[in-house]
Amino acid sequence: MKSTIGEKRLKIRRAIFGTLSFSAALFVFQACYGTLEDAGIDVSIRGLVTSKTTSLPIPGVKVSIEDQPQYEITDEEGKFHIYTSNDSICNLRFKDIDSTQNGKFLPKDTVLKIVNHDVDLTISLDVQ
Amino acid sequence: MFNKVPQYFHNRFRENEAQLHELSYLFWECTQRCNLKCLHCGSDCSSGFQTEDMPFDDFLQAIIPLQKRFKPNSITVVMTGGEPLLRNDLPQCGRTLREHGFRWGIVTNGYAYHHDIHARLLSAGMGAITLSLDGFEETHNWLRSNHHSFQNALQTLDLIVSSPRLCSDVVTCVHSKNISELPRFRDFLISRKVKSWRLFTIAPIGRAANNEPLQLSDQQLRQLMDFIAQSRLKAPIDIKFSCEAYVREYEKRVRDSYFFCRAGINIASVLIDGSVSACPNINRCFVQGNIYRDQFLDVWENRFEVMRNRNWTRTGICLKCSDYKNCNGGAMHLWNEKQDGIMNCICNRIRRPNNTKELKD
Repeated sequence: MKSTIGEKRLKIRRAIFGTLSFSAALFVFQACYGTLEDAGIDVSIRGLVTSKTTSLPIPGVKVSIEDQPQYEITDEEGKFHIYTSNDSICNLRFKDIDSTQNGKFLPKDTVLKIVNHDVDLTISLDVQ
Repeated sequence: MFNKVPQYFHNRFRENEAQLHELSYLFWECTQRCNLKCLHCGSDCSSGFQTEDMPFDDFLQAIIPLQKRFKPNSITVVMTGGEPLLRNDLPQCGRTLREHGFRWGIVTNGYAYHHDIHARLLSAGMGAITLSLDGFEETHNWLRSNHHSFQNALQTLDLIVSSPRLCSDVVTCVHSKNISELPRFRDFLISRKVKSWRLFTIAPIGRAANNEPLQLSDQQLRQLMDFIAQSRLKAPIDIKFSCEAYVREYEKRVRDSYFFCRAGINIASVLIDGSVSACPNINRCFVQGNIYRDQFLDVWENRFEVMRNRNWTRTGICLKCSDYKNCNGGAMHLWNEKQDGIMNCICNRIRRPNNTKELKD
């Protein structure tokens, strides 16, 4: 991804011409029939949900975020991956929703302080 | 004078961008299936079987090499169609794109959108969404040829505005039957907490090519420009005219920036059959390659000359036009295979004053 000298020159000219045209929107645009460019910053949260008793992964746990619609269900390896908005604090909720299929576990809430855009965590649930 | 200087530098900026041609916006025509049969559809999509959906992996393998050339998080992949929500694997496609560093969004008619798919798309890292809403119930349903389309789109709208993470907007195709309701509709959108509203005219292509009532008269075009310009001064909503045309004295009064068709300069597409082009509504005679034959990155880097150097557009009505240096031939989707003149010159049509009446608030 290194820029050549020619590219660097063009990028300098871009900044100059863009500034002198007084068009703040030159660098963020959308195609006629497309969406806005996604310039937003979000947070990727990956995790593993395990049993506190056996340390084994738990599939079928619903992972949701307080006050937001998105949720994920942990896979066969107890893993989940969810994106959420870049708030300073995120309240994650874990709820066993597959009845007794993989054991029965108590729900758990965890407050995450978001300090970077990629979060990895392991959560252990108590057996009910 | 005050406008001429920034416009001059904008034109230089545009030339410079064509030389740089950094890809930052990539359409993927992921399906041609659609759950509506809109009167104005530029793609002429329908619920009937056309071309099979492209396997996601074909698309992914084509764009992975972009990571060597560009920062993938500087590229937004926009899934379009047809109606992208008809693909059951849409959340998984989006999630995989994010895992490869790309950002992504969808353009939807909102008909099949509901709470569960909203949650799944957000979980998968969707960052942008555009919803089509073409006026109040009667007008919208007429254009969309479906009695329930407005109610469904409205539910979608409420879900979208409730998620501040999303970069979202509403788009409205303006035609002779809905132009008079725009002031009321603007207020309605504000009441529904919409932050951004983009207005189009309907290009005479696809299904709209032979539908005269969908076209605005010259006077209505000026009314539309005046409406947008005035609303931008006072309304608490980011309202703008789309980037479909150079609009002379209305430039920067109806949008944030000067007109700049970035097709082939910053915008590419992978179409349903693997064709590589720019915006999907551009005439297929301008296709530059095919992912099943060519390396997408190679096509992007070494072709697209027809869009990066548009001197050939100085023909037909553009030949002696005094605005050509600012317009540069207008939008690519308004050119066809004959390349003998632009199909619809909005700039020329708003030139003639017609004692324009303002739209009543």
